[in-house]
Amino acid sequence: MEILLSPEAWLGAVAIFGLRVADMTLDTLRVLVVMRGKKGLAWVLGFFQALIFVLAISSVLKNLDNPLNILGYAAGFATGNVFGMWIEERLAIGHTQLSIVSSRLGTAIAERMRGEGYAITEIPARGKDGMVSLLSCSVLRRQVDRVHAIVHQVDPTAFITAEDVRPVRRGFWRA
Amino acid sequence: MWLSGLSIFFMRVVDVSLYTVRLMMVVRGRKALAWIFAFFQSFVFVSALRAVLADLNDWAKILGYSTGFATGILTGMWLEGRLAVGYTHLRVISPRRGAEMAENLRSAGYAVTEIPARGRDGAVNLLSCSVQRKHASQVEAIILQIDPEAFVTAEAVREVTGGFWKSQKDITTQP
Repeated sequence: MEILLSPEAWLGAVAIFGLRVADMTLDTLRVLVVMRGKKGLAWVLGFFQALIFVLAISSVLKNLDNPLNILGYAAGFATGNVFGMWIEERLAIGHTQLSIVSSRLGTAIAERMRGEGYAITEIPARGKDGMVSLLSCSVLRRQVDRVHAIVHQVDPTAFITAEDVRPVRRGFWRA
Repeated sequence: MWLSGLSIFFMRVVDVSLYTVRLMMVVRGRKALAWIFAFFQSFVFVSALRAVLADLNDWAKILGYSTGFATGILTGMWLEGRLAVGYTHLRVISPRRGAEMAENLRSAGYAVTEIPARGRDGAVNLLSCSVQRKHASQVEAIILQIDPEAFVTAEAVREVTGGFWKSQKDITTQP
């Protein structure tokens, strides 16, 4: 129990915690970079991630008699994971394709969205109670919330689904 | 002497299974649950690794470690299939029986949008149907029952906000 009172033991555990937060954050960024095909940056991030990971795991395994190290390791992993999620949401890299089904207000939504500068393709379709409009709209991921707000302002009952799409070469993208 | 090969096996099964569940939480953006699963995953992992490295001459431990990892992958896949969290977007192309299929799916409580389209041999119906993943196999059974030749593709849909799915939920809860 005297280990809980030793400042060195706590310091070691906190250092391991910090290392793991850093390594998991780098891991998140690396996955983002890999998905975008940036090989050079992926190499650099992968190198530092592995380096930090080895430092963290070796300090845990060297001091087997300090249970605080294991707790620091696990808590650091968990925190780094959540921190990575947070960064990923903030960066919101990539494109999303929105499919909007509106029974009556499809044209109005399309007009409004075009007025806001988005590109929209209208497809006539049939739903349970007759003709509906299916709107197809590809936007940058960070614009999804804004588009969602616009659509629901025009038609609160519109049905919207979102799918991640890979970078598109052509077409019109709102700046 | 830390732990026998058998307990290392079970620790690895648990940590790899937790890994699968954690990824599901990460994809759905559930930060608090992701933290908890990540903590326990990492805790169990480092305890297992520590037990193996304590005696590298004990082959039972190394064998337990690796078979535990392999088994954990399988239980993780099984868990993921059982939980079937999330939504799927099904696209069905049926040359002749599209309208009938749409009627059947609607009477089963699913929302379907029919889109008139053209295939090699003339007009076809393209059906667009978003369902909860755990309903996907039931929907597929309905589709194939009506037209065994139907061409069906499924894509994962990223849920953006709960509101997007409201109309879907209303429909699927109807008897």
